[in-house]
Amino acid sequence: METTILLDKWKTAPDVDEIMAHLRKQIEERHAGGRYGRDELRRETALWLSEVMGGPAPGESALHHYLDTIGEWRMQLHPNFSTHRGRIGRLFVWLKKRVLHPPLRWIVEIVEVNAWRQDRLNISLLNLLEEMALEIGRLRARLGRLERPKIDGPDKTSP
Amino acid sequence: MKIAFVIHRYGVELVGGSEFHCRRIAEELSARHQVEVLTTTASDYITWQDGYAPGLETVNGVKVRRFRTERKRDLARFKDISDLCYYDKRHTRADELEWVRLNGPESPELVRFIKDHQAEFDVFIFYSYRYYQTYFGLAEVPGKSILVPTAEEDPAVGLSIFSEFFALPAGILFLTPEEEDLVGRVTRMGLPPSEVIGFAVDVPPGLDPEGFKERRGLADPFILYIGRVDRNKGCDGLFRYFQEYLKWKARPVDLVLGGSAALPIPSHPRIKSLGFLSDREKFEALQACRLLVMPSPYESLCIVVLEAWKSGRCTLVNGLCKVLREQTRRSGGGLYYYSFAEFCETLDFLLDNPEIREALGRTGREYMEKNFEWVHVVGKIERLIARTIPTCWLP
Repeated sequence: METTILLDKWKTAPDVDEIMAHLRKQIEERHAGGRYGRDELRRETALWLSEVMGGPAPGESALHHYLDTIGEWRMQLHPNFSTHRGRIGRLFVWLKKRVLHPPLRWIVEIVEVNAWRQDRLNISLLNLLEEMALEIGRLRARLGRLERPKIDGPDKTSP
Repeated sequence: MKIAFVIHRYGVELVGGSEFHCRRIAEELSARHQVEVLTTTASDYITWQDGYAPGLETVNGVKVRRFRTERKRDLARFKDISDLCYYDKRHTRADELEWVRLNGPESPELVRFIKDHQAEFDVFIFYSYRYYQTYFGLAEVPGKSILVPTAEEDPAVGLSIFSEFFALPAGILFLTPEEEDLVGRVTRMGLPPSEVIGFAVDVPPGLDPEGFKERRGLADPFILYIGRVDRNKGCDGLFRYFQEYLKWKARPVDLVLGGSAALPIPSHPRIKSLGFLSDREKFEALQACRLLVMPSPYESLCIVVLEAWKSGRCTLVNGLCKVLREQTRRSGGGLYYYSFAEFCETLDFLLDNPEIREALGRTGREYMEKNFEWVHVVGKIERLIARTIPTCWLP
C-alpha cells in the first residue's frame, strides 16, 4: 500500500504492527541504499556495541529483533500434556508427566546456564556481524566507485 | 473479609511500582473489606534504611502495621551472593536462601506476626516474590495466601528456590500475561489458579498543562521520561540515544525527566531534569508532552505507561522489554524500538505525524477504559480469592 494511503489510514485507525513494519522497511531501505553516512553508521554500531558491553542484560536478546521467533526457541520447562484418546490417552499423559518429563527437565536445567551464556554471546556476535556487514557495504560502494572508470574505459581527459 | 497486605515498604511518599500498586489496591479494597497492611519500617529501597516508626498508623484510611528491620542491606555482600547465585552453577540452595535474607528487608518480627496472627485474617496478599517478608511469610500461611510476584525477566527469577515457591500460594495475581508466562516457565510444579489484573489509573481533575509548562520553564516540543533516573531503568541508554539523535537530526526537541536521579544527568541544553514530580504535576507533564519515552529493559508492569495512555498520550518504549513491547502492541497506544536506528525512526515518525500520534494516544486511552478500570481490577482480585480460599466470604 502507498505510504500516503497508510498515513491517512493510521490517522483514524493506527495499527502498531503495521507502523513498525513500515518504519523497519524504511530503515532497511536506508541501509541498503547506502543513505546512512559514515558518521551515522559509526554512531549506530557504536551504540549497539555499547548496549551489549555495558549495562544490564536486556530482558530479551537482540536476536528477537532479527528473527522474531525467539519465543519458539525457548525451552519449555512446563509443557502442557493433553490427550484426545480417552482412558488409554490418560495413561500416556501420566507416563509422559511422571516418567519422561522429570529426567528431560533435569537435562534441560543442566544446559540452561550454557544456553543463557550462548544467548549473551549471540547478542555480541550479532552486533559485530552487523558492524562487519555495514563495513562491507561501505567497502563495496567504495570499490564500485574506484572500478567505474576502468569499466567505462580510460578517462578522456587523462594523459 | 479481612485482608492483610504484606509488602517490603509502604507509604504515600514511596514511588516504587510495586509499592504504589499495593497501596492503591489496598485503598480500593478497603472500601469493601477490612484491610490491614503489614510492612517494615524501611523507606530506602536500596539500603532499607528506616524511615518510619514501628507500630500502627493509618495511611489514606488504611491501617498500617510496621515492623522493625533487623539490619540494613549489606550491598557488598548482596552483590557477591547475587554473582554467586546468578552466574555460578555450583551454588547451593543454602546460598539462595542467604540471597533472600541479604536481599531483605529482614524482619523476622513481621514473619512471626503472620504466623501467630494468621487466624485473624481471611487472606494474605504478598507483594514481590524476591523479598524476605514474602518468601518467609508466605511459607507460614500458604493456604490463605495470594502472591503478586511482580516478576521481571532478570536472573533472580531463575533461582531454583523460586521454582518451588511459585507453586505454594493458593492463588497468584499477575500484572501482565507476559509475567504469567515468565513465572509459568520457571516453576517446577504447576501454577496455582491465577488472574491477570493489571492496574487502574485515576487522572486527577482540573489539570493545567499549560500552567505547568510555564511554571517549570518548559518549551514545546518535548518528550518526557517519568520514573527513577537509573541505569536499571535504561536511562543511560536513553541519554546516549537522545544525544546522538540530536547530533544527527539537529531537531529542536527537549527530553524532560521527571523523577529523582540515581545517575548523573548529562549536561546538555536539551535535557532538562525536573526532579520528583507530585501526582498532579506528573499528569500535567503527561498532558503537556508530545509523548512518553520508556527505555527500561526490565518491567513487570509499567504504571507510568498506563498513566500516559489514560491521559491520551502515546508512548515510545524499549522493545527489548517484552512486557512493554507486548503491552504496547495489545493497547495500540504507541511504538517501540530495539536499536538506535529504530529509536530515531520511531521518534521522527511520531513527532512528524501529530494526527497519528494523537490517534495512538486515543487508542491507548480506549484500551485502558475498556480493560483497566477499578471495577475490573477489584472484581478479578475478589473472584480469585473466592475461587482459591474457600473460607472467604464475599459481600
